Amino acid sequence: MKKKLALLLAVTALATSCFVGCNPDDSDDIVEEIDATKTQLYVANYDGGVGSDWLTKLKKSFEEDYAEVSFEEGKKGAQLILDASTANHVDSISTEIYNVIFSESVAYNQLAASNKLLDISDIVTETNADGKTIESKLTDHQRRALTAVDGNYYALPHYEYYPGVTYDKVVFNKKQLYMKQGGGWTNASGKLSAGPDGKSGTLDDGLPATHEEFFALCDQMVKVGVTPFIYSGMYEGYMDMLLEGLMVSYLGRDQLELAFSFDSSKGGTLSGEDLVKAEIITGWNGNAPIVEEKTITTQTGYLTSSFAGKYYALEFVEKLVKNKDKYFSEKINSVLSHIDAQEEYIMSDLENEPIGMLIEGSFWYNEAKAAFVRSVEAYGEDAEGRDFAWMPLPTKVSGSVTEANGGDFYLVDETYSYALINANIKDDPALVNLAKTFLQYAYTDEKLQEFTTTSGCYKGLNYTLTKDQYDGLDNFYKSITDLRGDGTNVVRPISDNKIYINSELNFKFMHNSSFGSHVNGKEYLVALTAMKSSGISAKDYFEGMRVTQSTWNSLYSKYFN
Amino acid sequence: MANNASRKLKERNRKIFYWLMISLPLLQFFIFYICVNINSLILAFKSYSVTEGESFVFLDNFATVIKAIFKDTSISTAFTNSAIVWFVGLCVGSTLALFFSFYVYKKYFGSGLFRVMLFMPQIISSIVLVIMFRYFMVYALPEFLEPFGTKVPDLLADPNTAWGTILFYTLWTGFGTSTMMYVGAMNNISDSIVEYAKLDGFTPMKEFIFITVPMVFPTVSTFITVGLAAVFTNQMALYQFYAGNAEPQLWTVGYYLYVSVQKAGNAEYPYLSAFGLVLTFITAPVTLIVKKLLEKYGPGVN
Repeated sequence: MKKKLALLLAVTALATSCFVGCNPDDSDDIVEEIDATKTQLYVANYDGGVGSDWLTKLKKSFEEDYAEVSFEEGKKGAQLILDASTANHVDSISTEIYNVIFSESVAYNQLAASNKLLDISDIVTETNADGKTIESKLTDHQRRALTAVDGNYYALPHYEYYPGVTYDKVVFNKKQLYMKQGGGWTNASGKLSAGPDGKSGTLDDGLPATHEEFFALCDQMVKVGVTPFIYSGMYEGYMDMLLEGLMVSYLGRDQLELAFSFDSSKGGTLSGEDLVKAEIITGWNGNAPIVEEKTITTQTGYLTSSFAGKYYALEFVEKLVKNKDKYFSEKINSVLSHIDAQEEYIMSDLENEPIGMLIEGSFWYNEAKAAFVRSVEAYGEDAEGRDFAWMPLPTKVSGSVTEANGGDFYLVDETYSYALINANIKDDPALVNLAKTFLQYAYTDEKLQEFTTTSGCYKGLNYTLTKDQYDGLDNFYKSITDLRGDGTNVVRPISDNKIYINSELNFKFMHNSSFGSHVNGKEYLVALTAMKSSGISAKDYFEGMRVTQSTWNSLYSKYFN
Repeated sequence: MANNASRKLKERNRKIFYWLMISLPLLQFFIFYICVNINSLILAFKSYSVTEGESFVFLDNFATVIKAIFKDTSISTAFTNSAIVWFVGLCVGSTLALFFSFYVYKKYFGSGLFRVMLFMPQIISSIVLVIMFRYFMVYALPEFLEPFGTKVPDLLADPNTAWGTILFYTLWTGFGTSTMMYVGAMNNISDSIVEYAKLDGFTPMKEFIFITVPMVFPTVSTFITVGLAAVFTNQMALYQFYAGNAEPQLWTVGYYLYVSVQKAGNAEYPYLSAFGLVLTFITAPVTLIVKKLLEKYGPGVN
């Protein structure tokens, strides 16, 4: 009897180990029953800040619209099996069961070059159901970068988010924190200063236009009982998002793109005086930086590690750190996660302890859905229809910006998020057809707009919302939409340069990645931590970030020609 | 004759059963250990580029690794930290674990509670434990020490204090397994030896030094050897504390490698494979030498 029982157990164990994980239908996270009359498409979505509601809607409409279409013999219609989790389906993509993957932090060029992604050039370049090609919704810069490996497209931009600062417009209005034209402070209906763009009547009116003005705002906030900032103390790297936001505001698109393209001529389209110049710190006069304008080529790409805009951003954070007891919320500690920080921020004004600004990625608003619900439960009507907005950051360092003397506003996308088709289905024409049809369907104007109205986030392509769609957005998303325009205001830190595509992970423009430094024999990953715990100055931190010509040559000279 | 045939049939069935049972683990071992390691070995001599594809670079990756170990401060710091973690674990961790085990083994007052408390970290999820520890350090510890006039800063927020704090955490959570093993070994010591020592007037300390430790030394020796072999894989729970974003001053080699592989793409794998091989070249001979020395010079039972 014992023997029989042992044998039974052994066989059961063996059978279980054989079958677990072999069949996609058995996967734990797939609970939908397979409809054998339809062709199945397995779709994975990284369920981060953007959520998955958009995909559920997309699945429903795709299945309905293609209910009568046959993708393989004997079957009619398609069934999308979704995985919405934070599982990484890209690292081991070749063995994944998922056919279409929406993910972030993707090393696009490496994956494309190693034949792990299906060539989707046909669906990108042919006219889609909305009468446009998907390619026409990409900027020239994106087209070059996405086809850099061998001239073909292997993925499409998925969602984008921007690092920076959110401000509470209600607090700004109530506490009169807008800058008045000619000096002083006022509320939203006062006569406002021109703001960072130097143009009156635009959405940044009354906001600080220079770093100097920003600190005046912080001091004013403290004076009227508002704590200027909150951020996640558990993940201090979130402070890099402020650095990134300040950098893109100061540098603008053309200069920042040099850090990835290493080409002042923009692919040979500019020459002479038109070449894009980078403001580079070449030395110091005491503690004041000596700034020179330089053109950048593949050989001098190392100079982009010394952007003046990077130093000014570090100097900004140094000033905040020096006044941390005044400018930072006392709730910040090493157990305050980004989710906690979002909730503290949402609740602060309702609890009469207002916090003016949150340092976060623009995805936070979607991530904080539950916190908003809790705020309404606790404070009722007062907590409804909140008026948070994305803040245009200063475009200059000192003094003030006069009318018509400001800088254009840019957002920078740090997601490296893509939609791609797994190349492991390439020998299955029916599945390839279905996957491509689905992806193409997801990138019509209508579906792009639906993505935004559902998630609040934008896909990394050029498109706009209708007036009705815009009116239906929350105030926060309206502010993002106003700043983003049709998408051309977004800087995308990618390029087709050989150095970039071969070493894309070295050039990630991302919090926790882009601001590492070597100071006094120690390595730091996050500037805030170095300044706060070791008292390192912005100047020393900046110097520790420089890439020397010899290092550059040793790493990349093989790509110079 | 019939008996013989029946025995043969039984033997054949036994073998079929045996091979059925063993084939899957063997296949798994072959694919996920042998093949993976062979691939990793080959990778160490290759280079990968998006534009140029794969190519053999022979020892170039090893040269880069050696250069990084000596010139890249974050990596040399990781080596130093790994060595410190191992050394402190050996001197403080193992010594205290032996004392705790002896206390439990002798069934002194509260030893049951002691055993549970020491083993608790092993049965609680490491993430949960890290969260509890974080909250304890940020909220509870300052409250405890405030009446004594001590203001405790946020120890985990500052890399200058975080390393020591996490080292303490690593030691504390590491006691459970070794204590269980030592207590198990101590329980195997013959009662007659202990009674003989008592009759000879041994104090508990004398008993610990001259009887208990020598008797459990094979277990201690195993822990030392295994600990040494794992010196470069110990992550010191940094991933649980900081995910992939720990400050380089806190890194151990184990953490550096884990996070690097996690963030790497095809282009980075060859360097990381070479890094792993270099670590094997360092650890394997040292571990074997230490094992021999312990066997030769460790305290004998006699």
